[in-house]
Amino acid sequence: MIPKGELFQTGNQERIWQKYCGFLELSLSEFIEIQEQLLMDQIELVYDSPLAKKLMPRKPRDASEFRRLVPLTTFNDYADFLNNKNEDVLAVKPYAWTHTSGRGGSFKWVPYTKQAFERLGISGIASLILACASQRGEVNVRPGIRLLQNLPGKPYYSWIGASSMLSQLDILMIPPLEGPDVETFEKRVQIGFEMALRTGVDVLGSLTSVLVRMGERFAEGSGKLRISRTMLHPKVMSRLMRAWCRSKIYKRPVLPQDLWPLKGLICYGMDTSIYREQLVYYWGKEPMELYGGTEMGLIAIQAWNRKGMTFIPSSSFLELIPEDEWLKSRESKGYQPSTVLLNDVKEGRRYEVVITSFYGMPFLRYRVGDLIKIIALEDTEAGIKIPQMVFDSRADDLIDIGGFTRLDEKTVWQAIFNTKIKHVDWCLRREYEQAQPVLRLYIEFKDDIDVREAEHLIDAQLMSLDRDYQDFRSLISTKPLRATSLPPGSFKRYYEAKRLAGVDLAHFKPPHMNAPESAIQELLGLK
Amino acid sequence: VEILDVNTYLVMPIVQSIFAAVLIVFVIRGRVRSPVHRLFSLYLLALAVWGGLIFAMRVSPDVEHAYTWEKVLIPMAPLSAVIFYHFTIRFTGVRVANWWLPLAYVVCLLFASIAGTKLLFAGMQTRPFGYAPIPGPAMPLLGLFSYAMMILALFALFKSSRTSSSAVERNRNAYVFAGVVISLVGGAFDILTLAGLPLYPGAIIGNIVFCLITTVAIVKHSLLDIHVVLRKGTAYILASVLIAIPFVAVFLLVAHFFEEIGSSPWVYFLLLIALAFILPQLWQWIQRWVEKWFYRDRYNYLKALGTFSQETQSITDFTKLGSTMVKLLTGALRTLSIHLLQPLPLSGEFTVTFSSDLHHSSSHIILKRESPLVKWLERSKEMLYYEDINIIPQLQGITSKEMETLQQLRTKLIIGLKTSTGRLSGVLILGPKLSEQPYTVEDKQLIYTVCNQMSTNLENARLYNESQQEVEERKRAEEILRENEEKLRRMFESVTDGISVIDLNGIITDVNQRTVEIHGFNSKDELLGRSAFQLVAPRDHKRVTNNMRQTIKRGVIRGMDCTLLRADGSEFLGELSTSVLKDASGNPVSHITIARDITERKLAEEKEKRLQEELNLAGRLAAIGELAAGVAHEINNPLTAVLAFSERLLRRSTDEKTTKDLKIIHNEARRTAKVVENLLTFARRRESEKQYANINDIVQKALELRAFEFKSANIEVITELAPNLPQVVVDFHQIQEVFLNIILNAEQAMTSAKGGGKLSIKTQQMGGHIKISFTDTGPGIPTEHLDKVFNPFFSTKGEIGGTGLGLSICHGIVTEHGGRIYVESEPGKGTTFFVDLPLAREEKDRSKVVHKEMTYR
Repeated sequence: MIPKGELFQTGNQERIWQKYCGFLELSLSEFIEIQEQLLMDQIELVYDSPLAKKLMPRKPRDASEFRRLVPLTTFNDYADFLNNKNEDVLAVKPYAWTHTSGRGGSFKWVPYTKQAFERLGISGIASLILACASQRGEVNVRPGIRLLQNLPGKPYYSWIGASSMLSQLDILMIPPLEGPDVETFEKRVQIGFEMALRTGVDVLGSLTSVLVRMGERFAEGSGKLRISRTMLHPKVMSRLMRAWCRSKIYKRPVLPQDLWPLKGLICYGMDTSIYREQLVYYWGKEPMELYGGTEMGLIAIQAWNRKGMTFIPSSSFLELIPEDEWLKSRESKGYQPSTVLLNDVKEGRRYEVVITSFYGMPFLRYRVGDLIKIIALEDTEAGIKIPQMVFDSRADDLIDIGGFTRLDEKTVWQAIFNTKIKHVDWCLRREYEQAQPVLRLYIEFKDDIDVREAEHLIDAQLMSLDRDYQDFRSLISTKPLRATSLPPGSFKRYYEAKRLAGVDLAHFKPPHMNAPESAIQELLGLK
Repeated sequence: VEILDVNTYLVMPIVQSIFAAVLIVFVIRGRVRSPVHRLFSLYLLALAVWGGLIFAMRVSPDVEHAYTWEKVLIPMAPLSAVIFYHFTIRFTGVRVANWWLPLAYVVCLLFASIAGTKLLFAGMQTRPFGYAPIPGPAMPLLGLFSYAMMILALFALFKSSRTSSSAVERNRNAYVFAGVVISLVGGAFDILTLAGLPLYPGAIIGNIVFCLITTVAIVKHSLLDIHVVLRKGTAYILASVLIAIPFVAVFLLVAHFFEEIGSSPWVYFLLLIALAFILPQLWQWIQRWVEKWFYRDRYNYLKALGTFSQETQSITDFTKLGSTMVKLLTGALRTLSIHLLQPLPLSGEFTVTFSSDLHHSSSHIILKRESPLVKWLERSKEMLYYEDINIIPQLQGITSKEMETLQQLRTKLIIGLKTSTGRLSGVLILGPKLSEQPYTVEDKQLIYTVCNQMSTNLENARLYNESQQEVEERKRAEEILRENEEKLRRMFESVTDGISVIDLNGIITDVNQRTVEIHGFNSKDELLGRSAFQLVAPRDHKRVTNNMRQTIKRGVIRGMDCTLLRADGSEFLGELSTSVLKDASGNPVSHITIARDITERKLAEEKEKRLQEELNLAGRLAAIGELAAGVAHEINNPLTAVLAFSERLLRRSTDEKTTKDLKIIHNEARRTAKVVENLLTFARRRESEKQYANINDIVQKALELRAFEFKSANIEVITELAPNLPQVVVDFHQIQEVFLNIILNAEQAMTSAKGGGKLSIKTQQMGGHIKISFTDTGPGIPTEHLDKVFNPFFSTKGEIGGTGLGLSICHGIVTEHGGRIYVESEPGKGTTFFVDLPLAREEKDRSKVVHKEMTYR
């Protein structure tokens, strides 16, 4: 095998591109072929393990038999074994354990095999290359590239993702992965940026919300740079000077892009597309989106043209539940919805993602709980022959109102964003008023805004963004949206209370959609 | 010597420029977008410009001009050193501080800025080889800086070589490293010359050597992945030039000589002919020389290939071809292991068929038919480096098991052997070379050539083998067919039924021996060609014809009874089963008829039927006997009382009328007693007293008893009693009763119908029994009564009277004696009763002995 980083050292861009981003050149039939070959390899690896035996009564001969034979699963099917880190039931001894947190706040422990870890690294480097590329075949990554990651550390998935990338290439991780443990995520972000002031950054990977907030702070605090002791370092000083000069040349406030001229920007979160323009303004780069998760690894990446995301064939075996089947299964718990493969998807349709792990990982026909949308069957502009997707929502984040209107988080977020109302955060859920279902939006404004006017504006935006909402509204002849203004500092208090309670990082914030009653009570200050 | 030195002095910089310029083309052609390629091209450009400027300096008419050129060219030394260092940083990936390279370029600029002053060079001087600069105070700094840059570049190359796991990479680095060292040594000569030592400036020579070594690295080890192959043509042009020079020289020399002595033109003509003879030899010699010295590996490989081609030309043996190939490549490439994989005929899975490594010569499956690797090799024209498996996106689906196997085989190169139709006929897996060196361009060319030739040869051998196998299989099939035919023929002949093959016109085309036998012919020839209807009784022709028509419709018709004919015209009962024989397209071509002689079977069936009837009768009789015995027993007691009291009353009666009535009572009671007695006789309540007796005596006694009645009834009795009949063990009286009963029935039948007749009685011994027949000439028994005559209480005598028990009693008696009684009758002609009585055991034995004695006599 090619030793770590050697490809990058020899400077053969074509080979680097082929190895990491070659999946973009595949035809759909080649994609399916690879998927089925890896699935058969996976079956061969795991079929006699106790965990697989529980779900797979016999060894299937091909992919279609596998799909007939094995029922769809959820984490509950694995929880007893994985949450106890019971390695005896697994087919391959794990190389590392990582965890994510479920909706209810419970942890989901996931074992990564060595091979899966390496494959994740390859996908990670692919994302790095594509984040820095502006055209096909461009490899703007070389050993020593500086990557600032504003993401949670060990044992979160982001940590394992970053570690796996290090197995492929020498990357200067900011902050270092094996650095001292820090108390909070915020502290980690702070350390990262402070370090980046000295080292500089080539690629930035972060939650979109963090980047937007930072950009806003920069824009708001322009010219009021507070000199701290850490800034007295000559490297920091020179960086600040360069940033100040740049801002003067372009006659605008100092922005993050002046401090860190980036090669690539990788963003996480469904709000990326909403804040795209802001991100470009603040950070000087078009953000690149990824789709993945702890249980499935990196599933899809945006190409250099930043359109839809392209599926990676070697991550997991991918099945998709069409929306109508998904709805049936939501209504009837016992219903086993049928699935389709990527060569059978329809443009413009929503699907729930089902994955089967490769490389000896444990998940078989696992319902990830995400809804994606196929926006095109291929990307003609980039010459990609594989269907293109965007993340739609979490399957349980859809709010169903009136039976046929299903609002997702992204639409509501976009609607609020489009009104340009300055706000801290929001929550939306279905409530009843005199037996009539209404959408109740709990929102904390930054400025003194008339809540009724805000309600009117958001309602108008929802109507323009969502046809079903519009239909429903005309049907009932009144707007179903009710906005409630939260007292200032509600969300901050909430985060603080959660942090003090030692809640997992993923649950510091209340969910945007369908927040539980307790969270709403806390936000309203009633609890 | 001086002229030569001057020329070399002038030519060298031009050579450097041209060499560097040519290399730029190759490098840029390889990867115009790669920063590494661009930097290397830039370095070569610097060398080219530097060479050009030196040339300009050296051809200057005077020291002033030379000094001007020297000022222009001197910044190229540090600049080219910095560019080279920059290249090595990018090439090796060694990390340096960001400011370091810009600083180096800035220093270059500084040197360039003072190049016009006397700080670097104070002036020029003339030396034996040409112009040489007079160093200024800053010159050592420039030298040091340039050397420092090159040494840092060497350090980076060294570090990269140490950390690289790839032999290819280490090799490439070694070439560049060597080039730089030579270049530095050459540069040292320049510095020493400047210091006043009487040396020749060597920097240019060093640079040329660097370019040469780089070229070798590019050509042999794909430095910067530039796959440039110096065409043979280039070498031949060179060879042609080398030939042309002596050729022209000799020609001119000779021409000049003859011009001086004034010879005629034919001398030139002869000279040309002589050269024409010499030239091809010379050409071949130079060709070989070029091949040997410029392409040593290729020369060796070509020799190996030549041998291989000769060896494999005549080989049609698949196994030998494979092993020859593996042997050749192992030897020529000095490879640790080579495995030839070929697909299994049915599954298409690839297994090792030949291997240079004995440990892996097993036939376990290495690659599955649907393996991405197999598919890729099928599609691609390239050979695959093991490292590239992880690079090519279509190979992402390769299974871990296959990867493990490839690792176990220490795979370095994978080559697909493809037929002219593009089918993958094999896969060649090469392990590492013994020297651990990477495979060179020459290696790959050899592999390509061998594989191309071998794939065709192997395919041809495979086809040849297959055709051979096909021929053998056909022979085997024919043999099996013959055996099967033989077997079928034997079966055909050994079948106990007659089988005939009859064409659609009804002509017999084939028969088995049994058919000949059952129809009574002597040989098959007598039957072949005959109409099948000649073997069927004419009255059944129509049925048989219909049967055959039905067969064509329904396929098979079974079990049709008909009368068949023998050769002598006699008839016998046969059963025919007919089926249709169809050709490959399903059209009927002939009938197959199975004929069975069922005469014996019919007889047996009849016999069985009769026995069954008798059995039924015996059963019925036994049941009735039981009943009769019970009734008789119950009646006997009251009847005895009636008889006794009626007789007593008769004795005392005085009244005539009363006496008459009492007589009637008494007579009827007696008649009833008689019936009861008969019933008891029928029920065999009485024990029989068996003893030896002569049947003829019993017959005679019975006839005597009825002699008077015969006379009066006008009945003629004819006896045909066999003399010397063996004795039988019977109850004399019971058998006599049987005979009397039969005789009485015959007598009554003849008397009542014809007023007399003829009664023939015949006795004879037949096997183990004696048959007695009583034939009358009476009216006969109607057919519908024949099977009832032995039933109890069955009587046709009407008013004549009769209990209907007579023949039933006879049946009982005869059956009790182990014999048989039966009747044959033809209405209007008469009736025959047969009684078969078994011989006593001793009599049977005696009879056998007698029979034997007679036989011996």
